[in-house]
Amino acid sequence: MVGRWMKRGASLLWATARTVALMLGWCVAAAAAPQGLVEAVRSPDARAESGADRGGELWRAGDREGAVAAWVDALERAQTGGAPPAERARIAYNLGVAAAERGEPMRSVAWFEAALRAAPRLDDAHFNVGLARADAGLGPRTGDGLAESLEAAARTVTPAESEWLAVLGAVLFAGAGLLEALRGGRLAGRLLLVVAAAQPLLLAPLALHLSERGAEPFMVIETGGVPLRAAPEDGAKRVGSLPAGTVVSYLDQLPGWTKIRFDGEARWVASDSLFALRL
Amino acid sequence: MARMVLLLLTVAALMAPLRATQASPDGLQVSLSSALVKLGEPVGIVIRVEGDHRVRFDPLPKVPGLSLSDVTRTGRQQAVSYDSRGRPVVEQRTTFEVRVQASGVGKYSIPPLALELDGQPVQAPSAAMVLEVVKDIAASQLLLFERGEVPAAVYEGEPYTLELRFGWDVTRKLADAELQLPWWERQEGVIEVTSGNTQAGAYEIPIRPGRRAASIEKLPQVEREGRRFDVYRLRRRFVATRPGAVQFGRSLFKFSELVGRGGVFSRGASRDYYAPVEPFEIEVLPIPEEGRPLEWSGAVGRIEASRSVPRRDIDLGDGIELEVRWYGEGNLEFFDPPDLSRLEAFDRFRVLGVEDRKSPDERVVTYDLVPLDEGVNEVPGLPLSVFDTATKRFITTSTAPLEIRVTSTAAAGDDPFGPEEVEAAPLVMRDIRVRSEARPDREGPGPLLGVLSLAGAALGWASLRSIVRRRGDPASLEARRRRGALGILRRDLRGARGAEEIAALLERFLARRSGRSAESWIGRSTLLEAGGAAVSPDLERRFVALRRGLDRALFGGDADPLASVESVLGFARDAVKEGF
Repeated sequence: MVGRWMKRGASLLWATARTVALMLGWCVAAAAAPQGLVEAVRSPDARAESGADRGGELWRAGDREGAVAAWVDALERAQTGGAPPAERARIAYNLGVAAAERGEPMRSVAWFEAALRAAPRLDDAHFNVGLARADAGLGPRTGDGLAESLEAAARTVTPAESEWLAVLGAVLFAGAGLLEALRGGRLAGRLLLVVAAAQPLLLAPLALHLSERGAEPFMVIETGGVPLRAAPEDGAKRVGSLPAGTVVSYLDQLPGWTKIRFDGEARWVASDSLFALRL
Repeated sequence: MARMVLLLLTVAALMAPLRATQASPDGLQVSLSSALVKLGEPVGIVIRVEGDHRVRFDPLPKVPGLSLSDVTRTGRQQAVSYDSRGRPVVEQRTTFEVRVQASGVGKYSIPPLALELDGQPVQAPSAAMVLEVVKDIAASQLLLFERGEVPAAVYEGEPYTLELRFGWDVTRKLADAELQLPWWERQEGVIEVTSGNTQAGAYEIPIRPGRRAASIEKLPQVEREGRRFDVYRLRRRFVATRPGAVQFGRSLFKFSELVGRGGVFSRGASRDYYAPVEPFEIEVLPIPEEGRPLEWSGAVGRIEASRSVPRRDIDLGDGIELEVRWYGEGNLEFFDPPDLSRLEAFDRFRVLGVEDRKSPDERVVTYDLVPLDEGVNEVPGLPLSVFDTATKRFITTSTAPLEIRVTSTAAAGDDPFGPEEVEAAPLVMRDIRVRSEARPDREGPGPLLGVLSLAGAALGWASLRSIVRRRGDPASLEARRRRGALGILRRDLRGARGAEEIAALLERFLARRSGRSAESWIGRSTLLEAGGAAVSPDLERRFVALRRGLDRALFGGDADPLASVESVLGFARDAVKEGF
C-alpha cells in the first residue's frame, strides 16, 4: 500500500518537474536569442578594458595619479561605450581604493557604493566599504531592522536577475497551478500555496529596481553634512541639513548647485558635496 | 329633559378619561424628599407604588435651573401578613427616585410626573411640587471656599493656574469632605500640566462626579471674621490647546460635620454644609499669524534660557554635552527644541544625540556635540523663537555663546610613557582588481515580461481549473480510480505480446471501471448497460470496432498487435475522459 503511494507521489513529482523544466527551457531559449544579438553588435572597443588595465599597471608601478586618471578615463569610455556593469563596477572599486589611500574616506565610500550598485555582489567592495565607512565615521551600511535587511537582500540582485527571478516565480506558479488544476488534491493545493507565498520574495527585487528606475542617486560626501537651501544661492534660506552618507535623488542642476529631492521636497545643495552613484 | 340627560351623560363620558389621566390613583405617591433644602444638599422626587403594578415613566418635565436625573428603582418591599381569618395577605411596595440638582438658590416648581400604571396613563401628584433652595447661612460662617485669581484671557498654549482654597471652622469635627466640580476633567481642548502637588505626603480629597481623589496642599490656618479656619488648596496648571472659552461651572465644597457619636461598627451622625464658587470662564485667544517667524517652535509664555557644558577644554574628536535649560512661565513641555542641524551656526559641530527632559518648571535639552575641527573656539548661542504673552509679540530668546578650546591630539606631542595598550592590527583594505570583467551581463527578459508572465500564469491556472472542474473534481475518489485503471492498463500493455493478452487486459480494464467481473466482458461487443456512466455513441462505435479488430487478430491472426495496443490505449483514454 505504502509502496503504491510512494510510486504515485514520485510519478506526480516527476510530471511536475518535467513540466516546470520544459517551461523554463522555453523561457531560457527565448531570452538567449536577444542576448546573442546584443553580444554580436557590441564593439570590443566599447569595453574600456585597456584603460582599466593600464590603470592597474600604473598603480602597481606606484604612479597613483596616473592610475586614477587612467581609471577615470576608462570609466568615462565605459559609460559611453556601454561596457558591462561588472567592468564599470571594477573601475569604480579601484577608484574607491585610490580615494581611501589618498585619505578621502567619504569619496571612497561613494565609489564603493557606486560599484556595489552596478555589481551588488562584488565581495571586495562590500569589505572595503565597511572599512571606508568606519574611517569616515559613518555607521554600518545597513541597519538592523527587518525592512532594512530585506532591502539589503533585494539589492544583492541585479535588475536583469530580478527580471529573471520574476519569470522564475511565474514558471513555478504555472507548474504548481497546472498540477493543482489537473490533479487537484491537498498536496497540489499546498504546493500552489507555498509557491504563491514565495511570489512576493521573488518579485521584491524587481519592485525595488522598478521603483528606482530612472532615479539618479547622489550621495552626500561632505564630512559633517551639507546644508539644504531653498534656492541655489549661498545666502538662500537654510531649510535643513543632510548628514554625510545620505543618498538623495537628483532632480536638476545649475552651475555649482544641484537640485535634489529629500523627504518629498525639492531642495538645493552645493554640487561639490554630492557624488553621483550611477555609473 | 331626555335631551338634557343625554347631553350630561355625553359630557360625563368625554370627561372620564381626562379625569382618569389627571387623577392620582390610590397606592401611588409622588413627592419631594424635602421641600426646603440648602444649596447643594441632595434632594429627590420619591415615587412609591403600592401593590404589584407595571410602571412606565414618560419623559420627565424640564424645569429651568434644575437638573433631573433618570428614574432609578431604589427599593422593592414585600410583606406577608395574615388577616383575622388566618388567610395570608401579601403587600408589595416599589420605590423609585429622581435626583434633583439645583443650580442656585430660589423657588422651583416641578410639574406632576406623567407615567403609566398597568397601561393606564396617570399624573402624580395632582399639583406641582415646589422646591425651595436656600443658601445655608451656617455654611457661610463655618466654611471657606474661594478661588484664586485667574486671567480673563490666555493665549492658546499659554499655561494658567487654577487655585481653589477651601476649609472649615477649626472647632468643627470633620466627618467627610468633598469637592463637587462639574467641569473637572471634562473640559475639551485643555491639557493639565503635571503638577508638583502630587508629591508624597500631600492630602487628598474626593472630587465629584466620580469621587476620584485629587491631591491637595494644607495651608496655614487663616482667620476670618473672628473664626479660625483649617485651609487646604487644590492647585492645578492647565494649557488650553485651542481658541475659544474654557468654562468652569458652579463648584461646591461639601463639608460633613460629625455631630453624633458612632458605635463600634457605625459612624456617628453628621450634618452637611455646602459652600459654592460661582461659575466663571477663561477666554483662549489664538496665537496671531502676524509676525510669526517660520522657525517658531510653538513656545508661548515668558521663557528664559541658560546653558552649560561640563567641560570646555577638550581634545579633537571628544564630545561636548551642551545642556540648555529653558524656564519661566510658559508651555515648557510643549514646544519643539531647536534642531541644530538646521542652524548654520552649528555647521562645525556634529550632533550625535539629543536628550530631552520635560517638567512643568523647566525644559532641559542636552545636545551631544562633537566639534569637527580644532578651529572651533565657541559653542554658539542657541536661539528659540517664543510668543511672548506679556508683550504680545514674537521674540527670540537665545543662550549666550560659550567659549571652548579644541586641541588636536596630534599637536599634543608624543606620550612619554608610550602607548598603554597594544592596539590590534588594523584591517587593511583589499587591493585593486586588475582583471577586467569582460563577461557581458546577462540581459533580463524585461520587467514587463516578468510581471505579465506571473499574471498569465495566474490567469491560466484559474481558467484551466474552472474548465477541469466542470467535469468534476480531479482529486475525487472516482477520478483517481479512473486514472489508476488507465495507469495500470498502460503499464500492463507495455509488456503485452499477443492479441489474446491485449484483449484480456482490455477486459480487466473494463471490469475495473464497470464493477463487473472480467469474465463478463469476454466476447461482449457493447458498452451499453455496462453500468457506470452513460457513454457517447462515438465511444460505443469505437468500442465495437476495437472489439472486432481484436477478434480478427485473435481468431484470424491478421492484425498488428502494436496497432492494437495503441488503439486499446486510445480507447481507454477517451473512455476515462468521458467519465467511464
